Amino acid sequence: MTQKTSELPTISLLIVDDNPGSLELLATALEQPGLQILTASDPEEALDLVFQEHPQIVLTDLVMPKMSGLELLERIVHFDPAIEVILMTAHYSTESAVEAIRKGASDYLNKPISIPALRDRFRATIEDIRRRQKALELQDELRGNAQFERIIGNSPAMWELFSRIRRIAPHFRTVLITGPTGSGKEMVAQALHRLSPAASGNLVTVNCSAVVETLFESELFGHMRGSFTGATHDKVGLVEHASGGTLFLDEIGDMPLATQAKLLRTIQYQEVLRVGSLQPRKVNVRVVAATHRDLRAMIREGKFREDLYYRLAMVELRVPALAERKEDLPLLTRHFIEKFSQQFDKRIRGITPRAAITLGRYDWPGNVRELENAIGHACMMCLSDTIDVSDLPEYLRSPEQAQSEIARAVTDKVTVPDSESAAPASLLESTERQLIADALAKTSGNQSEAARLLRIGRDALRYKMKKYGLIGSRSN
Amino acid sequence: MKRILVAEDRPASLELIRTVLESIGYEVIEAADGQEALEKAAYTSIDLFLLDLQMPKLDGFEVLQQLRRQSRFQHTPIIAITASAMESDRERVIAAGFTGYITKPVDIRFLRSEMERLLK
Repeated sequence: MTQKTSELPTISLLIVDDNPGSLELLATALEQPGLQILTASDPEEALDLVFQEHPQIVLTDLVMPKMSGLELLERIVHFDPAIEVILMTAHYSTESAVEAIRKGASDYLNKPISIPALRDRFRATIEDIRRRQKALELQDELRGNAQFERIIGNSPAMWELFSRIRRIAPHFRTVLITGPTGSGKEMVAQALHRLSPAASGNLVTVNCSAVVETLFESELFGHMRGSFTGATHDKVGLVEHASGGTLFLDEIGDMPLATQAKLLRTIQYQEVLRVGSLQPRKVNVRVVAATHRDLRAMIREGKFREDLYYRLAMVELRVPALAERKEDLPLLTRHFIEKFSQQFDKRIRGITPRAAITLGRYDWPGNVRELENAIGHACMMCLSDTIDVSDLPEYLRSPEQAQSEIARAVTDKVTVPDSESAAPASLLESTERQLIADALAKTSGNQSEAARLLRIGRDALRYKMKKYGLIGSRSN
Repeated sequence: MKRILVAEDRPASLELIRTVLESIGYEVIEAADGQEALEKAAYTSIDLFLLDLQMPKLDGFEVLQQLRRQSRFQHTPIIAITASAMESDRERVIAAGFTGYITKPVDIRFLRSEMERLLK
């Protein structure tokens, strides 16, 4: 019963009814170009067909022996929430309609239903599906244009940033990048370097919060043999290494005051003094500094040099928080889904509207990096080819949804065969370990901050770090 | 996120409409009668109203009139929920200034596509 038109891709519909007469009637009535119709007279057979043929639409009767239409609905939604499931019943009630919609049905029909009405309805459903496919293609196209030097954004705030980067990159000597944690300051630094005349030189990145204070100057400016215990060779510092290119100083707010003075000298005179040497060496380096801190406040507290600040802040680029550009969420989400499905070798096509809404409701204090982690988590958890709310990290879901998830997990456990029951636990553990490691990385090992991010107590965090062997990864 | 105020005195219908609207990503503010609908509209921004015509205290027509008098709701879509599908009633609803209407029992598909069309 397959019919094809030349341009449009075929949409497939599975009809499930235990009454062979009405099954045939429906199949004949709904026949139309571009629609492939499959039929099943029993829910088990229907599920097999869903798994094998992956239809876009399923029309099923509510009351059937062996398995009810609602149970079939749940199994289909679990397999792929993007499948449109339409239930029909002669026992219509508002309460049962609510239950069906809540479980993910796209429509709930009262029988008897006239054939012309049903045909109209299906024509509209098919149009909807085609429109959605088109929108998805369009979004892909848009995303191609919405990238600037690997930074993704198509919002006014990002256009402004891109335009400033483009104008600044050819000429800058020093730039200060400000913006909250996880907003992508390092990517901006990379774009500045790539678009600068020094692009062929090195881009040397120094994370100032990760360098041990006593070694800072030797790391940055190099040292001479014998200048301190352990200095067995002459060493070229990172500034010299970046000469002819760009030096990126991330978290500049964490640089010790004494080093700040020497950095200023380097920027002003384009020369470095290796530790233990009196002979200045000429360098030619562009400096990009970044911070999520309020440097003016640090100046008032005497923790940051005012002269260095004014030198750096002559050109300032502010990277917006994700909350300021929520219109970029769909683009970013698709980008990360693509990235992680490749990484995990899964075929994940997208995200359900309600999961997208859940992402939109959240304020993203950890910005793009937090979104990346959340999508990574979802791609890991996702068993179908579409991410749904239940795949998202629990803290993103509303308490109500989280609750019903727990209920579902418990019922699922009852039906899971013993041989498989070990797998979900280890997946859960590896995800938990990953989240903890991410939180520690994000906070540079600060346990209190990591615990706050994870919304657990510090003691619970320590216990879990011990359990997963994450103790001792702190640098201080 | 777009916000829809639904005023409907029958809890079962209200629940169904809310479930359908939330499943496609709208935020729903509920009101059990016309008076409550006006009170809630007074301090929240609403992108679309769904008003049952027969409600206690204030019926849908009265709520419509009071909303249309406020400048901020002059162009907001206001949809009637009507129990009858009779032609004369439909005319009365449109003549009164409603943007459109849906009939009970609620057609889930129609409700969704109407909301998506009006809130695009």
